[in-house]
Amino acid sequence: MGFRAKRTFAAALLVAAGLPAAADERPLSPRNASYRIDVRLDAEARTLDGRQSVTWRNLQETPTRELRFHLYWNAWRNDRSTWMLEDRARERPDRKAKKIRDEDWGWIEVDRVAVVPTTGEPSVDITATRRFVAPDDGNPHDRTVLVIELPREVPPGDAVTLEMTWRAKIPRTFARTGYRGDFYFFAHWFPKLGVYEQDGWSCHQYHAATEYYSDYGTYRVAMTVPPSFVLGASGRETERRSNPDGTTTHTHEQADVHEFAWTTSPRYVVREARFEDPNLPPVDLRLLLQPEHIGQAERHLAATRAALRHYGTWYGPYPYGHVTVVDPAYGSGAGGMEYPTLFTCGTRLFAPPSADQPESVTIHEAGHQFWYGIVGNDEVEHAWLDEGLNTFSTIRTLDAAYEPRRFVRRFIPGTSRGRDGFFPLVFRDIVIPRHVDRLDRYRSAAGSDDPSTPTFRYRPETAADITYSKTMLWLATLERELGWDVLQRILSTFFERHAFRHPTPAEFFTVASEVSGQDLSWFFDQVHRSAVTFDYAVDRVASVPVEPQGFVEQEGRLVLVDRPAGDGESEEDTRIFRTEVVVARRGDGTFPVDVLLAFEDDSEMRERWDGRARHTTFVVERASKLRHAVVDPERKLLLDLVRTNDSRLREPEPAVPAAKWASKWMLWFQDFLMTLTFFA
Amino acid sequence: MSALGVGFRAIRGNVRLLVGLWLVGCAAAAPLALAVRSSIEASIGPSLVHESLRSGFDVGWHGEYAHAARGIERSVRPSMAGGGALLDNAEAWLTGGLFRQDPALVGIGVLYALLWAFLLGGVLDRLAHPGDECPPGRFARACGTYFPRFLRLGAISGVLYLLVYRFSGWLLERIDDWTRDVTSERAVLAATVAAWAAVALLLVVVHVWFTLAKISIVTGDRPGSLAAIWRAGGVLAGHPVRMLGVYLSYAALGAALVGLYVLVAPVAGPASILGLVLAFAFGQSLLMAKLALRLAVLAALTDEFRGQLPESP
Repeated sequence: MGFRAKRTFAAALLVAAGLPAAADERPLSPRNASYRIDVRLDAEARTLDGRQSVTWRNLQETPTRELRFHLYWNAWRNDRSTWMLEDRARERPDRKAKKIRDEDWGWIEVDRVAVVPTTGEPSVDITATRRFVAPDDGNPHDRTVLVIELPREVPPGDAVTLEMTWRAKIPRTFARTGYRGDFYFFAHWFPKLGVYEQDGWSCHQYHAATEYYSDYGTYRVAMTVPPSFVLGASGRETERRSNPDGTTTHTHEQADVHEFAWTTSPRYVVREARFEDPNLPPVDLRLLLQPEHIGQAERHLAATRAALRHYGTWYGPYPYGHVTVVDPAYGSGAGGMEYPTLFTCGTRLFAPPSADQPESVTIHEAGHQFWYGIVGNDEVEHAWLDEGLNTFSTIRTLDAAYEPRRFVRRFIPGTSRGRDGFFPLVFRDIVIPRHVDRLDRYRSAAGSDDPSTPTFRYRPETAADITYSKTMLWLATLERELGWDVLQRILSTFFERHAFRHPTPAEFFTVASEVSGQDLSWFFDQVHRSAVTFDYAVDRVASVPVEPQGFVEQEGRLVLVDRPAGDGESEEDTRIFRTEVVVARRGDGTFPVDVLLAFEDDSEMRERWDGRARHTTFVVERASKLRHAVVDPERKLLLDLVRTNDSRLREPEPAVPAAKWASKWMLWFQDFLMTLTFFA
Repeated sequence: MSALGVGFRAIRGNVRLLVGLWLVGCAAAAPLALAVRSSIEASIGPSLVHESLRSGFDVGWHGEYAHAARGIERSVRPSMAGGGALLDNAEAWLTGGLFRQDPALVGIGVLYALLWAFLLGGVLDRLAHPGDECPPGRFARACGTYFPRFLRLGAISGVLYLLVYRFSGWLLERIDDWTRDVTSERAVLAATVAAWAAVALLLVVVHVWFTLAKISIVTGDRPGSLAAIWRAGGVLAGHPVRMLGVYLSYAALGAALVGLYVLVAPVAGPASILGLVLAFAFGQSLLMAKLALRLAVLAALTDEFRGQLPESP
């Protein structure tokens, strides 16, 4: 490891919190957790050797005597960690479990910890105070949270600097970090501080279904890699040095971020471009692409630009001036993940444009630069705050910038573990509204968890459906109910107020009610603090002629009126029809809905129902019969689990479409039978 | 080319047989298609979804339908539209997915395959004696005569097919292992396609082998099942390129036909009743063409098999 002398390194620690790149800039964040790291990749041994200093400042009003670090890679030390146990619980039964060989495991060991005094005295070795804790489940085999006892308390406002040396065995990719062949992706790879909050440390064990939470700071990371390896990392490269042993050290610096990720491989093809918009600050784009995807370079860049443009316009500008876009190696499992100023996408060799790949994942991960990167919520406890907001924004961006998505079926499966097929067939006639996928996923998981439950406590197998899909659907519902201009102001206000902070759900709800000018707690009580489901239905429709029958008063006398003789057309033309429409609430959730009554004379009538009772009846007398009734005709309530019962024709017409799709099924089945005769 | 000529002559000479076999397929599929129609109709109910399903496909409706689907309803999916239906089955043939469908469908499929094995006796008898009169009685007698032996052949070939699928699983696992450090999809694709090609070839080899065995029985060359397998194996081993070439030529024609259908078949349309009828007829004509190719390849293999037999004394 090409470290400088220990004394030089220790001296450098003192300036770790105020790095050159950041020194002349106004801090955007509290910068209370700053790192200076030297790390060397040994590609032969698949190890990292690191030395870091971390300077932490106590932002809370209570002192602390300990620091808590995440050692994420210990989640893959063996199969008894909490991450591994949870991951097994969410495995799909139709897929084979990932085969893990001995060399696939990873770990990280902190060899030395010392406190660096501010007075220039020698550092104090506190290695012996190390201990592991498992605050979430008490799992004694989990070594993902390391506690370091400090020799003295860190009072509010004060800072402490630690010097640490560590070693790590690089795993074959778990959770998007690790290696495949000569491809490396390093995320959550160094001992990383948790967040000290009002009620103590928020430093959860590593969970399979949740992500991360860290304080903002400045990073100066020197990464030494083998010769000819191309490197991409968070931040900007400020120095590149060739070493006598043939290796190269790349130094990157970045302020006001809460994570640092990097990747290296000799195969990357680099493309550079720039995002420019008259109303937004320019952003340098650096794309690291797999050679076989060179033809898709512009698609990656265009998707990144679309995200920067739309998120920047809707919520607030991207402040860093640069971003690195990584197309990870095939099968590496590193795709589709966000890190500050760097994100990974994911594409395929054959990627038809109408399938949203790589656009969807690129926009989503670029979007995380805003929701996660800039607004740094706690992803372990409130993952929906970034994933949900970002999924909503991704779909909105895709709808704004791209053609509708088509149904694609991939043929010829790739591997025995059920990866999607290699060859796509695009069904051009079949358009998939982008929210429909989310509704399908939510439908299967609707009752599994209240979203207000800390995310790491969600059922692992449905956590993503609640976090991403349900949030996306209720945000889209809010958009349709309040209007985009209102929701956009809610989101941009939330973004502006909580940029470079750690907002909570309550702060989001406060902003929503404040900006919309209405108390939305009735809505959030249902979609966030409970698992109620929504389902409104038109239960019954009828139109009958209004003709008095029996005794009626005429000129002061009771006269018996007979039922009319016939139903002739001429008679019908002059008749009045009494239309009754019964709308029911079949779910437990309530939402105000419109009810549309469409009549045979092409007239329409619209009623508003508060949606609270179990049912309501609309009665109207008109010269025309009802054709159909629709509850929520604009489909505002995207959380409604059953759309088919939202409308009702007085005279149903399902025969032709049923026959059409049954005839297609019949063709498939005939061919199925014929194919089976191959074996006869 | 001569094999193709033989095959096409066989199609020309057996139009009624072809239509009969097609009708058998229709009859086997129609009851379940009616059940599926009822299921879809019940799902659409009186809702306005009928409009979107009539003019195209409604993935929102399908999500609801699939969520509540039981049994054969699970097989209703957008990929069965247009040419996707045929590619779905082709892939399932290759990967063994045919047998992972809903048990009811597989059960009916197995019964249909048995029926096919029964009819195959009559079909091969007809193809083996193209100049003879073939009254219905003779066809039925041939079906009944050869069926028990074809069943035995089916049982033995079934074991071989099972072994091929087991091998394919093993092979894919190995490709997973061999390519675990490969970072290029193109390289993994090449290995995977090669593996599937090998699996397809093995399936075809078993199929041709046992088809030749049936031909051997029907032509009277070897009436016993085991002897027929032995004889057919000998012929196939002696002339692998010729025998497999005949089969693969027709398979290539079939693939071209399917490719054409994928390109031109309506996917989510049409909306009109006339268009619906025409699309159905177009699909059925494709199935008829595939069936015709099956007859043609049987005729061509019969001809080739006979050509490889030693002259009778």
